[in-house]
Amino acid sequence: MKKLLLLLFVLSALYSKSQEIKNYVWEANPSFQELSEDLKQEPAVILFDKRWIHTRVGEYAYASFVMNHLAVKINKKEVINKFNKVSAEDRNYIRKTRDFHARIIKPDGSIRIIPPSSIVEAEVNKTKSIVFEGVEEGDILEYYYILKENPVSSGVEVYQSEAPVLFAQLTTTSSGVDFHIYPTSAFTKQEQGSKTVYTAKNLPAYKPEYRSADIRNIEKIVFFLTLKGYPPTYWNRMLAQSTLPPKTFKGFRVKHAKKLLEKLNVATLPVDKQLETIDSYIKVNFGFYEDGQKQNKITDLCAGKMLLDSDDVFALYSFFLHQLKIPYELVVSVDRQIGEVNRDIYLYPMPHIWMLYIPETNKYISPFSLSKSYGTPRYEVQGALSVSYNGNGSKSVNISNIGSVDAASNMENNVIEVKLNEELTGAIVKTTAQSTGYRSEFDRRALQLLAEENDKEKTENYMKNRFLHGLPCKLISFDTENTEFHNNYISTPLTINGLLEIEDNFVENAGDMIVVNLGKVIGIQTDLFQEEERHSDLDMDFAHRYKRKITFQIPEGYKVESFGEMKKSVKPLLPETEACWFVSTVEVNENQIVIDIDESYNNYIVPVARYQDYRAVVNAAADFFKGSVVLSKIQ
Amino acid sequence: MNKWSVLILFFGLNNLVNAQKESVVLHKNETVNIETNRRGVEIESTIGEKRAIYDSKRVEDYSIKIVYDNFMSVSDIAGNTISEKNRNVYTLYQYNIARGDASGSNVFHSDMKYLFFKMDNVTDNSTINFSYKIRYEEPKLVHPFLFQGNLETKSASITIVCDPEVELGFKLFGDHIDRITFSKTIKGDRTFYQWKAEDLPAFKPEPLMTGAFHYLPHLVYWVKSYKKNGEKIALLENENSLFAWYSQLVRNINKRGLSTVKAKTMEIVKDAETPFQKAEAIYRWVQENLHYVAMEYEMGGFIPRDAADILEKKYGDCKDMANLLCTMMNEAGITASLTWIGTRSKPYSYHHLPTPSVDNHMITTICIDEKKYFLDATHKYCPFGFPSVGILGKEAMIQIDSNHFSVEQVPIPSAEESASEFRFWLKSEGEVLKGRAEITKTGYAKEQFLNHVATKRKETENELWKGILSDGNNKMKVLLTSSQKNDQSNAPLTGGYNVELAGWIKSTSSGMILRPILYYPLSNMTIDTGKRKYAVDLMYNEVFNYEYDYELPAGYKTEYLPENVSLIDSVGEFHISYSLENNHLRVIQTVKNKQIVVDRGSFENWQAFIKKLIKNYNQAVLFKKISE
Repeated sequence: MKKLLLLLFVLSALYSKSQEIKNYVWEANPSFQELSEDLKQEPAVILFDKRWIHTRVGEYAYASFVMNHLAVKINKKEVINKFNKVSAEDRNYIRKTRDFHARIIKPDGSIRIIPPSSIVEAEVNKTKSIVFEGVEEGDILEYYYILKENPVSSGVEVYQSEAPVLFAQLTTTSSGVDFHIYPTSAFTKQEQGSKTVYTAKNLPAYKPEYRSADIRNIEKIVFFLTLKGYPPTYWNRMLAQSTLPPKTFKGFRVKHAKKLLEKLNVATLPVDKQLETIDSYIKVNFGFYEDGQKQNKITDLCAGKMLLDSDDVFALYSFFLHQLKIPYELVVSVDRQIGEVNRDIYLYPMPHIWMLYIPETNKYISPFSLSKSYGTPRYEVQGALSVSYNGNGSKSVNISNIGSVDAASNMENNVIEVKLNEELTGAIVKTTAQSTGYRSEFDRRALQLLAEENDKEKTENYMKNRFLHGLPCKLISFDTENTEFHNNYISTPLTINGLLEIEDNFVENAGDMIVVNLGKVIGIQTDLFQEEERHSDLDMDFAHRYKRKITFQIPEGYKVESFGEMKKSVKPLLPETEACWFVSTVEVNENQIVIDIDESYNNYIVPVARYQDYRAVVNAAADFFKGSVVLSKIQ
Repeated sequence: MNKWSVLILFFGLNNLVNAQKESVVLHKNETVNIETNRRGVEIESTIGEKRAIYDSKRVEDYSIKIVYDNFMSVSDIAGNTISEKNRNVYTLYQYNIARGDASGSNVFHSDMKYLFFKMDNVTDNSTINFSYKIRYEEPKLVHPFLFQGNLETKSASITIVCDPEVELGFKLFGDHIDRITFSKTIKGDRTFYQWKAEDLPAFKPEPLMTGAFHYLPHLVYWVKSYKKNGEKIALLENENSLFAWYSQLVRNINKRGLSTVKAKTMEIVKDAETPFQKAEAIYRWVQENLHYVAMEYEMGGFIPRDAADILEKKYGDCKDMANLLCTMMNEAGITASLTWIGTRSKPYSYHHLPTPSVDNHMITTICIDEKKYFLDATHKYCPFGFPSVGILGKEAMIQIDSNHFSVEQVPIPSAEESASEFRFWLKSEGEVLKGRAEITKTGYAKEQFLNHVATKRKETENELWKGILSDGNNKMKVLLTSSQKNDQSNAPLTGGYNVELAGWIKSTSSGMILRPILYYPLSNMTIDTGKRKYAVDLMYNEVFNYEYDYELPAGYKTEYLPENVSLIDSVGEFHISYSLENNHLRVIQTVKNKQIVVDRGSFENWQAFIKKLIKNYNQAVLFKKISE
């Protein structure tokens, strides 16, 4: 009897939890927050956006119930078409649409219910959709739906959008599973009985800005589920597992890996050289399978170029490090423009970046990036928080920030020789671009792929963009030096030489004078002339520096009238680590103008407070691009 | 800082990763059987294709999607992969075929679905084969056969097998049709029509091209008529048959009663005096108050919904809006007709292609004082009286009554009707130009701006205004002082603003150089005549008028003025003049295009025009210090 009562109690508990969400209804007579005068100027305002996820797993149950309830006020009729259509869908296979209701609340308070007959259903997926009927400016559109679907193990609920959101809420309840919830800072948490409720108020409309970390910044809630009683994946456990020497691979056998290591013949080399040799071989010879591509059984890893599963590549590095007894740490982080790694757990569904750090050499191996060489960390995680684990040492998880690479290591040196054509309508430009650091790594990878593909047009377009960043020009010829991957290790600059012809808008006539738009030879530049205000930090990917030397041959019979706008010195007073500048000097010799440019961005992050300094430097480069020298005929 | 530096490298890398050796269609074939029986005409097609997959990284080349609707049924999907290495054959299993709802762009609800399968066991240098059958439930709605696709095609053929009771219509369109061989043979009581093409290159779309169907070689076929019990039944013999079918589809619309439509119409036109004013008021009302939502489920894709329903729901697709507009116009005493039309993506004419493939849109044609106006209310800011940009120059099938129609060409407004005009009053303060300016936009130029601005927040709208006003000259500091969108009338959009442009004047040892032209319309419309394959769609004719009034700096005189220049060509014209009046330099710049499409025959002409235009933009005025 007791057992029966207990069973009934458990079942009713389960039943009552899921029944709650299933019984959700909206208020028959809704009332809404009055809008301030500012908000009345917005084309639309989301009055509330409430979501509820109930997941039950276990005891023959395997389902999620998802409720979405939203109300939006339409202030401008022009945006009606953005909000007047709703599809009751979530993220997984929908088993049933339990409820789907929509209504319009007119400015006078009258309510028009959209009849169920207006609901349409997709034939295959059975997704239900509805169009609000008779919508006019000033209306409030309100809908809610409850779906039964297959549970998802993780998700991201994004609340911020181009319309302000007055009230955002996520409620979670569960049976048989635990929710692990990670909201952004706007949300506050409340426990309401069996419900966990996250709420945010007055989310402003989200406005993306140039190089802002939109995914990171936008207000959202990340969640994942674990079976009840099962903990989330803590780093110490996950990383401990991941640092064990691999015993198997997906696509090949251990003996194949050993054979490759033998072939590489690194046993007697210093650690640095060992890793360079291994890394170079892997990055040059191996590629990753595409999604959906069949993976072949490998019988010989030494057989030259082939595709591997990316996890196998990671495991191969790990295997080699163990075989060579090289101590390493497993380092995990998240692209700082997307988010931040959680200090304790592996947070689904955040995309993580995995690297292997070698303390002895203070360098990183990036197994999952084919362009990134052994050495500096991936550019996306410079400065980012990371978790690391030393399998051989302390066997504990460390939290630290990954270092960053200075601008001097990401250098581009350009030597540009410019000579006008005979008609004085355009110019022949001989340019040499030498790059190091991240830039050269990308270029080397691109050049490798271009060579494999052997598509002349694609290669030409790539070169033209590389030199002049989209400025119309004709590529006459080009060649490259030090393209081999191993040059990444010894920081030998990658050299690309080009011969181009620029005609459009290069020379202007002014009577006896000609205006030569010499600035164009550095290629199209970003500008921030119109972007006077900034609300979020700016992320440039990596610190970098340009040094350019332009030598312009003054045509015979002409002298220099002015070159003032080619001289610039914009160097805001900033600490060295945050400094940025654009400085160009001009020297006029007998028949040449020589311009030296030094442009640097010492930090990849520009805080909002420093935006105007940064903007001044960027605009100086853009001004230089628009700059010209004036020549007059020698009488 | 290079705008392109990191971005282009990343995007370049992403593109290159996927850009391996391209697969090839070794053979594609369609066999169409057209049979008559007591039910009428039955059309069943068997499609087969064989591809060589050289690089298995190109997963998209062996992932097949068959899109269909409820007018078709797809069956008998089969396929296999043959490995080059070991010649093993791997069969496609039915459980690997997925189904889903196909979402078309701008279509909220339809009966479009897809079947999808990815061939298994594909390795480098594999061959894949697949085939399937399509049965057309509605013989008027058959799909064309494309000889060319996004992969190189070694051989493509279509065979149509007709029973003797069927009269077949067919026509080839696109490029390379000179390479398509045709044969017609009779075997027994069956007629075999066959078209075959070989060695067709991969089709690579280009930016700003007119629709792909202008170039993709394809065959459209249709059943003109068939015999049933000895009696000839016309299906799609000519444009009359097509119209007869269309007319029958719209015969029973507006059955709900039109009292609400009439009442609303009277309310809208109550202050209008002339038919033109009434028509404009109705058009504006529909544009403003109805919202485009396309529901194209089965015959819902062809039959307009009831006007009273549309009025109540305040949404609909092109045919719904056309119906409501037409009904309202008629209620107001204005002659109005439903009109079928193909947009410019379709290269067909009604006479040459009397099938539903010829068109994809519906509008309303009204007639006032014997002049026709082609009205498309789906474009929220299209000026009244202007056809929408997508149908310029196209043939329209206008319903006169249930038995009569006319086919007429939609006119193309002149460039003067879509004008962007800027007037500047500027003077130099050192090397900075300062002053004020005014802008007006009319016609499609105005519509384009309003489309951008319409749904944006106020802050973004201001930025968009700044973008328009600085248009290509990013250094220009702009402060909007007044603006009038006039989005509910044909009155011009206007704006007034203060301008500041630093670094525009260059100092020399003896004076100053000023580049007086601040805007360079069409300068980015160069065509690489050696490479470009497909016509460039400029959308509409437009004229740009700029007037610059520069107050000469004190203590300077004009040393050099460029020569006035004019060029009038079939593709465009420009006029640039310089004059001095009372210490003011006046520069007038007018540029217009005269063709909405730069076709292949005009490439050289166009490029020569643009080059001359750019050369004349690159002129400067010299000011010299007056010696004391």
